[in-house]
This record gives sequence, C-alpha cells and structure tokens, in this order.
Amino acid sequence: MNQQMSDTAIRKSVTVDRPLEEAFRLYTEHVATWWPFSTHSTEKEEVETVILEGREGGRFYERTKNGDEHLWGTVLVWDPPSRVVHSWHPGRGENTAQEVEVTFAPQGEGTRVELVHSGWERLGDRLDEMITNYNEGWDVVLGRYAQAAEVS
Amino acid sequence: MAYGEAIAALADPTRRTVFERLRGGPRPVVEIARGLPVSRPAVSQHLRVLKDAGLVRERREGTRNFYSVDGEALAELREYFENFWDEALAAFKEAAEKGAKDEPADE
Repeated sequence: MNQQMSDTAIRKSVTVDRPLEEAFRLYTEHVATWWPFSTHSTEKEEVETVILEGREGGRFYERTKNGDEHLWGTVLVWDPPSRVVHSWHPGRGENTAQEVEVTFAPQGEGTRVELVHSGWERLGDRLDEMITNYNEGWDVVLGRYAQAAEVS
Repeated sequence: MAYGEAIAALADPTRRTVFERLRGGPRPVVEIARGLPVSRPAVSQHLRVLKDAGLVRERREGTRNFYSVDGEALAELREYFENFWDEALAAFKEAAEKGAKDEPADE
C-alpha cells in the first residue's frame, strides 16, 4: 500500500487463455476487434474503427464513420511480443500526454497482460499526490480497487 | 472523453499554479493572485476554467468568493480511468477467449 500511495500509476492486469504471440497480436494488430470504441473513444457511436500501428512512432487512433481521424497517442516502444508503450492523450492536446505501458508474459498455457497508465505527475508536481491522498477520494479509490481486484 | 477536459485544464502551467494554490484550503481570488505574474482578472478566468472542468468549487462569503479544490472530482478523475482500463481489459479478455475457442490456431 505504501508503494501505491507514492506511485500514482494506475495498474491493471488480466490473464488470457492464449499463447504470448497471439495475445500480443490481438491486443495490437487486432485492437479493432475488441476495443470497446462505442464507449471508450472520443466520438463514441460515430467511431468506425481503432488502429494501432505496430512500429515505433506508429499512431494509435480512432477513425469515424465519415473518415475523420483522431489521434489518441503515439507508439513509443514497440517490442513484440512482450511490450508496447504508447503516449495517451485522447480528446486533448499532445501537451497533456500521459503514458500507457502494456507488457505480455507467458503464464501457464496463457498470457498475463499488465497495463500501467502513468504520467499523472506531468499534470502538476503535487497533483498526483493530491489525487491519491485526498481524504475524500481515498476511500472511494481503494474501495473500487479492492472491488476490481476481487472480480479479476 | 469528459475527463479529458479536467486533464486539459491542468495542462496550462499558470492554471496549474492557481490550482495548486488551493491545496491548503479555500482561498479568495485576491489571495490566490498574490505574487503571480498575471492579473487578477486572468486568475479569475483560470478559476472559471477549473470550475467548468469540475476541479474547483466556488462559494460566496459576504462580498468575497472563495475557491477550493473539489476533492470528489479528483477521486472521480482517477476512478474514471480505473474503470476505463478495467472495461477495456475485460473486453480484451473476452475477445481473446472467444477467439481461442473459435480459432484454436493463429487468427
């Protein structure tokens, strides 16, 4: 818990029933087949697809039904099949970019996928501290976290 | 993404300074503006943006407006992203396992 209090990154993990290479390709190359873009995008229902270009400097973006493209981030590290890091600024300027790192590791017959969303400190030296330590919010956050942990 | 607004509001360095000045508790504009290299109307404008983004609350006391950090909004901001990634990864898992059943080999 101490580590979580000093480190504001959001950490998530999931284990899937697929070998490493397949899990990586599904997450990246085939992101459009699973990403819930009707809710998790800037244009929601207007979004037709989402694309993650598999190379350093590649774009991670949504394309709407009328062909508009909105950049969500840029691939910073491309290390298949174990790691992809991309910047993250959907619906806002690149000057507010955060970072999302996704790592893939074999676990049994499947693959463990870990996601770390970091860069809160860039929004203010003390903002991240405020977010995690604010009395009113802390209970809510931890409660949710425990709930999520039990579900997964 | 509604929470993009809150994050975008804090991307401006002056606005961030204004916001961080509220850390110690509610303050009137005049106090927030003290020592800052921008005018009071400019500070008021920054406060308005922060308020519209849901990060700051305004309360009137006598003739002065006091501004304070909306702690609930900060918690919600984080909670939003907690949920966002939970949902995205759940969708990924579902697709992975559906695919594993349908197509045992490569896609």
